[in-house]
Amino acid sequence: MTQLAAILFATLFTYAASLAAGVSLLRLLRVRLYRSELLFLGFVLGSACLSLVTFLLTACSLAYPAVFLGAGAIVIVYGARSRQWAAASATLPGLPRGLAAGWWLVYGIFALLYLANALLPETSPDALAYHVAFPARYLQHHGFAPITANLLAGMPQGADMLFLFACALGGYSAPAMVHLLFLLTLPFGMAAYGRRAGYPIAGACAALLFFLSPIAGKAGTAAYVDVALAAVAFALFYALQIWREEPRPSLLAPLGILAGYAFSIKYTAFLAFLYVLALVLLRARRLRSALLVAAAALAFALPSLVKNQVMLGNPVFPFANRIFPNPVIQPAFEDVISRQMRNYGSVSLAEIPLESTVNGLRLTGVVGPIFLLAPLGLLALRRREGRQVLLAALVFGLPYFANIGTRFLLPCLPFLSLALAMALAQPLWLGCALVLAHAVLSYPPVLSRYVHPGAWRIEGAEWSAALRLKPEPQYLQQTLAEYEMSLEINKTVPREQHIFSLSGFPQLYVQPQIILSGQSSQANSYRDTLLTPALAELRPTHRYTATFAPLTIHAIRIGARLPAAAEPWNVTELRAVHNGSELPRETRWRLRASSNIWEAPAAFDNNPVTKWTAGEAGDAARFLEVDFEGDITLDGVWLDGPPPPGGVVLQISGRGRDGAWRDIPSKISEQQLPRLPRMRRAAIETWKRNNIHWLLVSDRDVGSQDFSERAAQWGITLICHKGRVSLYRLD
Amino acid sequence: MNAPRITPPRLLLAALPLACLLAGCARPPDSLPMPAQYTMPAGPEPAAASLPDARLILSMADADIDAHIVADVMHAETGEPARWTNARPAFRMIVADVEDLDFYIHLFLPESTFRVTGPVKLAVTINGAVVATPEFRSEGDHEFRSAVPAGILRKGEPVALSFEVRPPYQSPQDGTKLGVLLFSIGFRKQGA
Repeated sequence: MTQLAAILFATLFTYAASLAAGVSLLRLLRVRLYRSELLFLGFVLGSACLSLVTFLLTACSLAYPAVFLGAGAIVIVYGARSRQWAAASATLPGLPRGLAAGWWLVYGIFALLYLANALLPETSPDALAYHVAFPARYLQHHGFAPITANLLAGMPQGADMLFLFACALGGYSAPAMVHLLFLLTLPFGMAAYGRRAGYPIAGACAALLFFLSPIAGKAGTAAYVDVALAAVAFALFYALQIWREEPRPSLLAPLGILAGYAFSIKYTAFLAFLYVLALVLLRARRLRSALLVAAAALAFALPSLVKNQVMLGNPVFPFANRIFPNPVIQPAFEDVISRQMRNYGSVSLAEIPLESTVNGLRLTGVVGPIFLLAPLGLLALRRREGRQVLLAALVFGLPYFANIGTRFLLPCLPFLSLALAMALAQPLWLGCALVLAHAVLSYPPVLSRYVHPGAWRIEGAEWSAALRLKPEPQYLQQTLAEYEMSLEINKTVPREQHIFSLSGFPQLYVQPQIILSGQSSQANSYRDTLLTPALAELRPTHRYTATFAPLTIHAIRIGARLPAAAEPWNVTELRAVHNGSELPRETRWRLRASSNIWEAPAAFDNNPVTKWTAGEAGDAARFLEVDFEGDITLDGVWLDGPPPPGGVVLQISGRGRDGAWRDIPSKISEQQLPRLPRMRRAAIETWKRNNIHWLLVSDRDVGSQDFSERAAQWGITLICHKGRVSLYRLD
Repeated sequence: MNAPRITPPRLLLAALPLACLLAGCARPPDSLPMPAQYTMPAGPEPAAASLPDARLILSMADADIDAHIVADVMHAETGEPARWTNARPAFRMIVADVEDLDFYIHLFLPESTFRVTGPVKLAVTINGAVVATPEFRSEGDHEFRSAVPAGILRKGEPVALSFEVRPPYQSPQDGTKLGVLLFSIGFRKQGA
């Protein structure tokens, strides 16, 4: 029960601190709101402030529970003394009593269901991978500890900072409860907007259309960020509508804060910034107003950009790696990931409506079949408010096509719900029927009858685990296949040593850091190093020899064009040659590369299991260059590596004393190289130099059999085998 | 209500150029020095723990899986965790320790093919003898194991392992018969 009490305390404390911060800010700015608006906008705006404060404290290495507790307490005490509560006008036109009772009944049933799920020990994939795993790591280190070779390390952390705050006080289940706060609060914001805009019934219906949606329920009860983003997007829209009614400068800063906060939760919300800026400029026609909005937005968006720049070399990591080259993610890797997110393994645009409303397997979840009626929402265009709502739906819906998973519809779902309700909530019985049908279709036992069994959804309520009557370890052992191995790792592996996993493994319950194959170019490079001895397509099986008349030059450049390049060019070793022998490499030589210079030394380290990869696919020319820092006479180069599929066209150039580059006519020949002995051991030694000392292998992973049978050749020891996963120590 | 006096904070307005500055200051290095030269581990390759080529499980992700496939398994990229079989896949393997073994198979029946075929039965044959006929009555992930009758396996000798899928899924496009999506097949020590 202590655990449950801690979770509930952390949740309520986070809510109180957020609300108090928001109310205090609105009071300072002298913004006048109705009470229901104050509760919604105050909470969302305050959560932005709390997130920023948590970020700054963590940046100062002050991520301690006591510090968060103290900071939160100060904000709550300050906010409680605010006279804003008394100033808030009490009334917005309400719903008829009977209708309000029905609304509360439906809301209450689902709220209880959601509470039972949010209270469960955390097992959702993204929470285990980063939304809670990274805050837990920051907490362990009391600051922004580096996360090695992980594309998720640079994802915006606006909501994750709230999770960190809650996690410090209530443990790993508190973040999901904080996300639940957004899910529980947003319907009240939507209903309040409906009342202010003169559509109380439509607002109430829309609130439930969103709240009952299966994907909102599932994502909103896990430590994800999509519902939080939806709430911030709606708060921004709402504040903008208030400002359009009463264009006071006092609301400009909150507008900017909300736009910046949205971006700090998810990059896809970048359009929010342009949206609010454009509307403010159009309405106010004053650059000063737009500048104020921009400044406030930057204050909230900039910290995570700066953190990414400092820690990862790319402010918008893991994107835009061509503009901000860095050693962790190469453009070819980014291209592959982006393609995957755009089609989820070949889901076509025409398939999206049914997949995201009824089936739910391939796009992971459903919004509910009622949203097949969403095109009817266009009828709302007849009204001014409807046009505003649909404009917001467009702004927050456009980024969906960059990642077509169903939950990425959530930021625009409140607006789609409002548009649909505005179109169909008159007559009243139609609106009620719509909501009731949605409630029935979203109720888990009914939902399970029509969605795919593998669809991501809430399947029921397990109160015994939620209330901790069933101990957390017991629940995790039953639910999470990797939990037992996680406990074993914590017992065996020192915290500061890195583990490499050849396939996905949840980080949250593991104290040492796990580098996951497939999570970055850098991680894939480690993986290739390990698997080079086992996989022929990675081994340096070919040598390309370029022979030319003896030359005395200062630098040589080996360019390559891969005509059918779906993969980047790889070079395991590049050697300068004279009279048939390799020229000894000298420490004064300098290495350059057309791209991914960080790995260039791997082509000159005499190690057959490391390689330079150009990091860019396509047929554009790539090169490696050696500056000899003095005159060198040579008559050829050897280029060892796996043969590129489709062949390679090599071009050798040299730079003389005059500094000019000249093409060197060369004869290119190709020969097979014998397999080297002891490559397995070389791979393990190379890993250890990179501070990787442990290996996690699933039975399904490539090489799993080889590790088991040739452990002596690798120089690894099997420590334990749990489920399908083996843990090896590198000796 | 009086409008509050708000002026754009200069510090925040300076943030944009600061961001640009930060973005610009982290250029990749122009060149890097020659790294230390690696020396390959000395000494001969240690012996593998078991007979050359001996194993208990054939995982479709194994780098050398093609060398163990005799028939009716569709090609896939090396390292793919699962491969489609046709109707009568067959494998060859060497088992070092033949005592107290269970036959083991791990497969997946996709919803798209299961909808057409219904429950799928396998007739598993080891060295020519049918040893098990498991039936899978639902789509999804399945593991099956059953004891190998004594005397069927001999230490160090090649094992012929095959199964027949009843009924296979027949592709309406080209008539190809698909069996199961196979992850691994082979043996496990009893009780392990």
